[in-house]
Amino acid sequence: MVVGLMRTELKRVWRHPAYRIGCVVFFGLALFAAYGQRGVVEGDLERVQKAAAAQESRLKENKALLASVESGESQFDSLWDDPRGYYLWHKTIAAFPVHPFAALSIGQRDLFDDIAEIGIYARPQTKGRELRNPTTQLFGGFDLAFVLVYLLPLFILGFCFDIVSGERERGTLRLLLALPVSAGRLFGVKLASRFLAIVLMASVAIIVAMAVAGVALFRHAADLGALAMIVAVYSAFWFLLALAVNAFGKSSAVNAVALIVLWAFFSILGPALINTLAAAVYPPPSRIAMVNDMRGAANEAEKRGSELLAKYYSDHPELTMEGGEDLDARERSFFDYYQRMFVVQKWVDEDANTAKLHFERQLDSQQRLERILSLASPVALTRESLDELAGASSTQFQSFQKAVARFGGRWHGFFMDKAVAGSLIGSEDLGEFPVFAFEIQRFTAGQVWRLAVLMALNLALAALIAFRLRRRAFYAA
Amino acid sequence: MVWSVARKELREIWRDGRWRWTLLLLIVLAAVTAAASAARQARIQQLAADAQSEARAQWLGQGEKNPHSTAHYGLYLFKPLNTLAQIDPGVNSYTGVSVFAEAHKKNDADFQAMRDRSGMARFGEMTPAFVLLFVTPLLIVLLGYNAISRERELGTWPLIAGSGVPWRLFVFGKWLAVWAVPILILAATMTVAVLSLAIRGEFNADTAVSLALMGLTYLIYFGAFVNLTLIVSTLSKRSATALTALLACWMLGCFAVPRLAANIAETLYPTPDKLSFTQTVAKDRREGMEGDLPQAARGEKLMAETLAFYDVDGVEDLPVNYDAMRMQADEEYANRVFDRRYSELVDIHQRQNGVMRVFAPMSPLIPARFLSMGFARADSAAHWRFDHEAETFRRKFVKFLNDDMMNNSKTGDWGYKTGEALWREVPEFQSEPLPLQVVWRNQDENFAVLAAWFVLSGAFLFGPLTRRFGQGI
Repeated sequence: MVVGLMRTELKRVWRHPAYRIGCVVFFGLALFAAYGQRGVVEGDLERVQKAAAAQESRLKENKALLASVESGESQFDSLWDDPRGYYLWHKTIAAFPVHPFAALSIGQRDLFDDIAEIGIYARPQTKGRELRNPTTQLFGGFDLAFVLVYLLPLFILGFCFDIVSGERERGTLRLLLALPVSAGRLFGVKLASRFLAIVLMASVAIIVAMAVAGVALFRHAADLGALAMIVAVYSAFWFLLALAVNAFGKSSAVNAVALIVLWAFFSILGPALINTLAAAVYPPPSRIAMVNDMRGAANEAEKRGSELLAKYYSDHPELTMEGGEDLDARERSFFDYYQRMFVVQKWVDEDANTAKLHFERQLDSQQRLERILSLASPVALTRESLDELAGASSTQFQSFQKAVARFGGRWHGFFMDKAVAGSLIGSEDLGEFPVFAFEIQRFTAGQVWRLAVLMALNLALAALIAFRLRRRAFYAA
Repeated sequence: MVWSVARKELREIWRDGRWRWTLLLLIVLAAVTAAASAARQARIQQLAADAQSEARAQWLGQGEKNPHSTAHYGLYLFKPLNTLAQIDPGVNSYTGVSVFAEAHKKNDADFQAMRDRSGMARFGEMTPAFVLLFVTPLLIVLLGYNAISRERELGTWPLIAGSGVPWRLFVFGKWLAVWAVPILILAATMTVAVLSLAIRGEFNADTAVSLALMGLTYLIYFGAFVNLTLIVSTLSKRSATALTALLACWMLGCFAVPRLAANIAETLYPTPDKLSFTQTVAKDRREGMEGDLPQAARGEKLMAETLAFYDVDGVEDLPVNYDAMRMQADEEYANRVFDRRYSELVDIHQRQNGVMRVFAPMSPLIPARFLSMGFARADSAAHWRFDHEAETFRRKFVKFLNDDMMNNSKTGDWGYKTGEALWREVPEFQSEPLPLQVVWRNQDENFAVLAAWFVLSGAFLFGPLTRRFGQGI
């Protein structure tokens, strides 16, 4: 009986012209979005590769120059141009890895620069994409995640807003209820058939779209599986919501309005309210105030440069330059400059640390609140999951920022140690330069939590449906 | 007659408890949002003012230094927020709020608020513009989708015709009723905005006219949506079909088309990435732009010209500091490079905005949003204005310091130092909002497009459509 019902329902769906038109539109939009993003991702990848190649060739040139100085072939008047000095080596880059799945969602990629330049004269700062047109950033991007998160639910609601009320209005509900299956099972089967029809179509569209976006499907089968799972659980929410609204026994017109209002609430109003609430409860801290604090600390340290250097050496007598008396004037002024600079920077960091930590704590609290409140919106949850799967979520970019800051500290420390020890760069140091390593975490505990919350919401809706279907009022019509 | 129809429609809306409560809720939401937005705006303004005065104190208290060290020490210039950004913050979250002005470099505005938020923030915040541009059209759709189709479904259509009521006036009565409801939401928003501006003493002729133009924009925007709603309601045989079609229009017009337009704009006119942009600027400075000498040759030419001008044999004999003169000449060449490359960048942004405007016939939100942000001085033009002012300030301030070094020290004298008296001569940075005439010039095309939406959809509704259905009764 159940199989028969399912077969009939699937046939009905397939024969419905709106389903076929909807499929064509959905496929078209998914392919268009993926194709558009393919160009963007390829551009990002090329840029990162170009920057890495430029860095590599700079290193190669410097190594050749160093070898020629060490062998006595070349000589430099100033240690600033000399490859044994620090200037030629002090810059490096850190790149945010572009994952092949990036075409799934723009996420925060249009806000954060994926290449950070690191040097020793200032603390590394990961930049934004300040050259981008802020209007296009404000309007947002049209990507596969947008199609799945915003448009797929509308497709689902368009098919299910009258799943019960339509039968009632056509007068077929009584006939259906006369069948030897319970109402719960009957509408469960109807819902499951439509779920299958739409989710299968969406899965095929996703696979084709990702192939168009240049993703090697077999190599990323696990990612595709995760994506299909997220989409299935998210779609189930909208199917169940449609049935839950129908279970209240209102007309199709009322159901349609109720569902669209719910869609608008979950997709637009709810997230906007959450953001406003989070910003009101925990106002985002002022970065300009923090910068001013750090600048104040830098001013103070700069003025007390010599005093700080003396204090540093009295605290760390083991670092006092050995053989300092053998240095020529050129080397002495070189090391004086760097020692003073590094000690001042270290002092600034220590002084500004309180302001920085305070800022970061406030920022973390604010973002944590936003994330907790986002649990109330399945749309926001799913968007975040897809962003994370694409390797373009705010959490991932912020982890990159932190990794860059840590690496900047190591990079800085390497040169500082050389400076305080009165040591120049030699070929023995070439293998010692710190190397930046960062891996995007795409399958995090957050992903599991979000999926679990979505499933819990689905269970709650299923329970509500079961409760409503037991009520006599449902059968009154 | 028109008023009777409108009154009857409004009465029906009011009598329906769902609409009554929805409407009241939305009016309260609009007012609360406007008040919260005004408070947030005041907080941000205060933070910027505090930061500006602290930065000034740090600047004055930096101690004695060589002017060139001071030029590298630099100044943070903060972007003041226009008061009307409390209604529409526009692109403010996506643009930096502070420019670090220093020698040799033109830095872009940094610290975009959006980078310090979680991914949730991309869904937008509850601002008055959000309520008016996104939520209110949905209300219009829900209120008006069955305004005409219901008459057909209930069979009252022939009765209306029989009563001798001209169909056009009947539709106009319905139009007025559906249009009147969002006006209440707009009125609530504007009242709170005016009150908050008056309390802060920021209500003047400019804000009053800008506010009025914003109000007019929203009225026309609502009018275009009402036209669209009644057209679809007239053409649809069933209210459910009308609702589905209108919701699709709302979804496409307010969400999908603007995103699509932004993507296509970025694809057709790609923005250069930061790394290649910086490399191009550096190359232009090092190798010279087309027809110009490379940096080293420019230096040699300057030296030869300077020695000839002062009729001396070497830089050490010059009565001025040649190092400072060379640095200033390099600054001036760099300024030409910046002017060229940044004007190309702004040109790309304008072309992108032009592409987005092409999509306006599919989405009245696009011109309305451009207009709303423009009148609030929170669009990209306002941002570039700040950027331009900051850059003009930087150039003057660096030249002032180079001139001091050039005139008061000798070549090679890097030990020359000066102090607070000189730092005080550097004026405080002031940024003025774009004058209304400039805003209007920037926005006239958007206004024309939005007006065209309103007029053409209205002409279709009250012209061929009314004639056809009026005769068909």
